[in-house]
Amino acid sequence: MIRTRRAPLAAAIGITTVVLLAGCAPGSGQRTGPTETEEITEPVTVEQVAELGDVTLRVWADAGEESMLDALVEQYEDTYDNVTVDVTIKGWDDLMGTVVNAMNGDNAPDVTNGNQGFAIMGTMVKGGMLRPIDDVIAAYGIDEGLPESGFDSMRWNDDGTQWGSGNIYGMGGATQPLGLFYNRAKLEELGLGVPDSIGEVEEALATAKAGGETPIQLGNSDQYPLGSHVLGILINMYADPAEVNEWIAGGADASFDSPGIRAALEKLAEWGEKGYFAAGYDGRSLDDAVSAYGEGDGVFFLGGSFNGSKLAAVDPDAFGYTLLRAESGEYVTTGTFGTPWHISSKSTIQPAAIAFLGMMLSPEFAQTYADSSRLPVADLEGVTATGSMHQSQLDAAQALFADGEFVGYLDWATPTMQRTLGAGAQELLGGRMSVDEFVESVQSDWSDYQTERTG
Amino acid sequence: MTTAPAVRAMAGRGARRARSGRPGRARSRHYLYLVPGFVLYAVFTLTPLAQTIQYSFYDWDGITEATWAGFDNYVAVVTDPVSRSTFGHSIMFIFFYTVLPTVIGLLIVAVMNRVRIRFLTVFRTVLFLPQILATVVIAVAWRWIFAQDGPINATLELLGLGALSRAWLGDFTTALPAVGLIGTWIMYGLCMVLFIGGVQKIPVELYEAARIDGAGPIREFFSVTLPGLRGEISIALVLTVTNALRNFDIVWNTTSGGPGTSTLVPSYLIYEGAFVTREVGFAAAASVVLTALILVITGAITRLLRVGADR
Repeated sequence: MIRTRRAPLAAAIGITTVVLLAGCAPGSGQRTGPTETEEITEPVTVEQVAELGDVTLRVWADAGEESMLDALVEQYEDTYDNVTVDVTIKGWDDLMGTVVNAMNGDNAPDVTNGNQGFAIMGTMVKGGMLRPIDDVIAAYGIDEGLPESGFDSMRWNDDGTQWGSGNIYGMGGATQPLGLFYNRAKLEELGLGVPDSIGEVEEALATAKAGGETPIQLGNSDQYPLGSHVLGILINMYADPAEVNEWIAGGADASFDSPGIRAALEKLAEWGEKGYFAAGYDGRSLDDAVSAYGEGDGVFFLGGSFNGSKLAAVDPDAFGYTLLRAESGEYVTTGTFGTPWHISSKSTIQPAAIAFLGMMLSPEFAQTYADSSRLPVADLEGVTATGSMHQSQLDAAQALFADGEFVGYLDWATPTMQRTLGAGAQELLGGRMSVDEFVESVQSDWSDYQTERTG
Repeated sequence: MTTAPAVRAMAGRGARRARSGRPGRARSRHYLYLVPGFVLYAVFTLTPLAQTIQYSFYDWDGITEATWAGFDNYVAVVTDPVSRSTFGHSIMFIFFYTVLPTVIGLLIVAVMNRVRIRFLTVFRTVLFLPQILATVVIAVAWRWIFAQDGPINATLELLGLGALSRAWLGDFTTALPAVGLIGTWIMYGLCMVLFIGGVQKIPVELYEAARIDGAGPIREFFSVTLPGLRGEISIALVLTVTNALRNFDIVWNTTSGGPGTSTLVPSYLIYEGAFVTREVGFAAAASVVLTALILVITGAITRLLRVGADR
């Protein structure tokens, strides 16, 4: 006779045995396959969408897109009145944690935000979850006037194991280059001009420190953005962009151990030692740091242009933004066409999804992005800025699109890179890790993943 | 579904036995009432548990077909230095989540027992508040308390101890204890409420007898209160140890495991493996190890305190 106390254990063992004996490895079950993709050569017409009948277009998006989507959905539903748009908004971490599984499920959203790199976009391409959108880009002329290199991070081989060439699987609406924010009033007080190169930044930092100001505002309690964005900007200054991109993309001979990257790490550690970063930055969140910077604590802030929306909301003219010239003399920065939008390969209402992206990425819609101090890819020159800070961001983005160099985000390199860089940078500045050890830990994370990826 | 026929057979057996007039065996039929609950339990607890055990033997990204990995994931959990350190941090958290709150709870009860406190209910409610607050709210509040420009450092400055001020959650030496103290603050209210309830069940005669025998407050505490609270202490230990070992939300919302990896805990690695880095097999193996650890420690606690009671 089974004793009651043992019953749950026995049942668990029983179920485990049954599952194991069934012999099916996880992930081997049948799922809804991709629907037939009809390539388009012309923009989708209202009639084509109307033929779908009354349908619901399901959209998953990052919280940063909410205000843009509010405007877009209204305009879209007016134009395509047989479609109801159902938007699900998620915070970034939440979205990144769930989007792949959602897109893999039988009830996948038709349109979604994702992220570049192996962990999200690579997995989705590998699983055949995304509809290639080369035809959409061409039919709508979305690539007109844009630098071809910006599409690199959106292109994947068919297996989803290598990016940089192949079909385009996603496209962003607003570019988000990393750059240098400055507080106009403080620069004036300190008698400084707007720095344009890394050398000028260094001089300004020394002056700011001597003048009793916080040289760089930073909030890194999430182990971000010190090891990713701040280090990224420094790497852009000292390392060869092509080499860095090659490394991020997992090129066979690439290495993190280069003189340029070492110079960047030495510089980061030096800035830490000199006390250029706001005191207690590891105990402060990024949001709190941006708020503090908005309230006037700190001369500079290093980070993504997307932080500008919050600063512009405080005061549209108090701050400025610039890219920096690397040692090569060119503007080099980490950036892309922004957080990518994807169309599900399983969507049964692809014309409606295509029309949605077409409208979102059109020059006519660009001003809506600009109204919340964002940098629309579609019409950087034509939109009206919300103030002088936004204007300086638009100018910077234009300069970058015209003849600057895009570098990928370092954390695209491997799924674990964000932690390796984030934790490593804290240890480097805490004096618990040398530059050698940092380079070694990053490169070993990278090598492990390349072995796994290429099998 | 293998369980349903088994249950039916059991129920049938019970019915026959009842008819054959052996009253003791009629209890079998009572299991029938457990079926709805058991089905829920099986679907939402046992099946995921079994699946987790299954996944832990595979190398799987959560999407494409998995490959058999044998015990590789378990080897990784045990040998990877970062993974090992997370279990070390968890053990440290037991001190902050379990030992400190239990001691504080007992102290409060000992004091309350000797001194008549007015507005006891009010105090009890206030001290229990941390238990019912959302942990995100708690984490945000404590992040501010521990911040460079927060009240702790302001107090230190006032006392002329400005040299000691730091970002408590961002410092390699203080981050782990700082996160732990948040746990202490959350847990001691629970311990206290459990112990107060327990003390009220101890017969007053025992205290009277102790006092007549000339026991002082300390003797009284160790001879009457402490033994009388054995059951409550056992419950408090099990609950707080479980919380210490599965700690995730407080770390997630205060340090993200940093600085470096100094506050990283197993649950954090499990979450990352399952949802961020897509190493589902490793995450599953770590979950199994963590579950086993919790079972072993809480099992040991209940056994130890029960054996004590038999003596």
